[in-house]
Amino acid sequence: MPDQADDRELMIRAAAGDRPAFAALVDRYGGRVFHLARALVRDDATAEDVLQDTFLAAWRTAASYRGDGAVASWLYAIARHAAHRRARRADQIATDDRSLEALGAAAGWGQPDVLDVVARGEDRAQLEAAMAALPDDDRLALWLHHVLDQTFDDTARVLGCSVAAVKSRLHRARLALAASLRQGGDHVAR
Amino acid sequence: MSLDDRVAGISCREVLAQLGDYQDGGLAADARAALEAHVGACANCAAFGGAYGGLVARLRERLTPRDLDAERAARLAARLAQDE
Repeated sequence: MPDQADDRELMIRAAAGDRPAFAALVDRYGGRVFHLARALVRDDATAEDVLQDTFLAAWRTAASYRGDGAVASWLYAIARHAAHRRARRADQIATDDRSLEALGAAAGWGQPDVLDVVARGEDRAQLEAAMAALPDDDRLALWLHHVLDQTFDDTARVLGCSVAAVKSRLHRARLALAASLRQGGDHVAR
Repeated sequence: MSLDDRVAGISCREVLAQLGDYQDGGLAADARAALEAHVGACANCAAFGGAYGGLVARLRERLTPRDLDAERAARLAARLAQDE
């Protein structure tokens, strides 16, 4: 994981117009931002648009970075907004309003095949398909915390909610992911 | 067996509600001990807890972001260079 103090130093220099410093941040976070964007929109071309929107906005507004959170989470928040602007509303998957008990049952509590979800999760394609079927904010929370190693605080900053809400969302999202894997990636939040 | 059954002093429903905090290390010591005692004696919660924790591990292992490929990185660099 990139060093946060080094990130801040690069951001300070970028805010002063230092293009090589900004290019170093692009090298460091370009892949992560693209894959986060790809998790939020439906195709590679739109994800690349989000990638470009994100770093263009970051370059133009570098001076507004106040250092009160990690540079990474600042970039991911910009990417989230960029993805929302690019994504068509019809593509978005609404919040899952099932009870925790219903989610647990769908995830396999009490079922003999419950451990199959771990085996299915070994396959990146199956895992990505199951993730794609989750509500947008569930998918984003899982990506930020479990894939991009964002702290609870930084995940909350990107999502614009409290740490308690992040923890609750992550729990529901993990259950929904298990349910999605059991169902072969079919949409589970309808 | 239902989610309302109590094993080792707590119900499966309570275990389900607390599993996220347990996974994240956010449970107080007494609650953690109670949950572990339940899971140690309840086959359904033991299997479910194993699947839940295993799935989190698979997320970290399988979805590791890759670097940008060279062509995509070049297009991004070109787009940024246009913005003077």
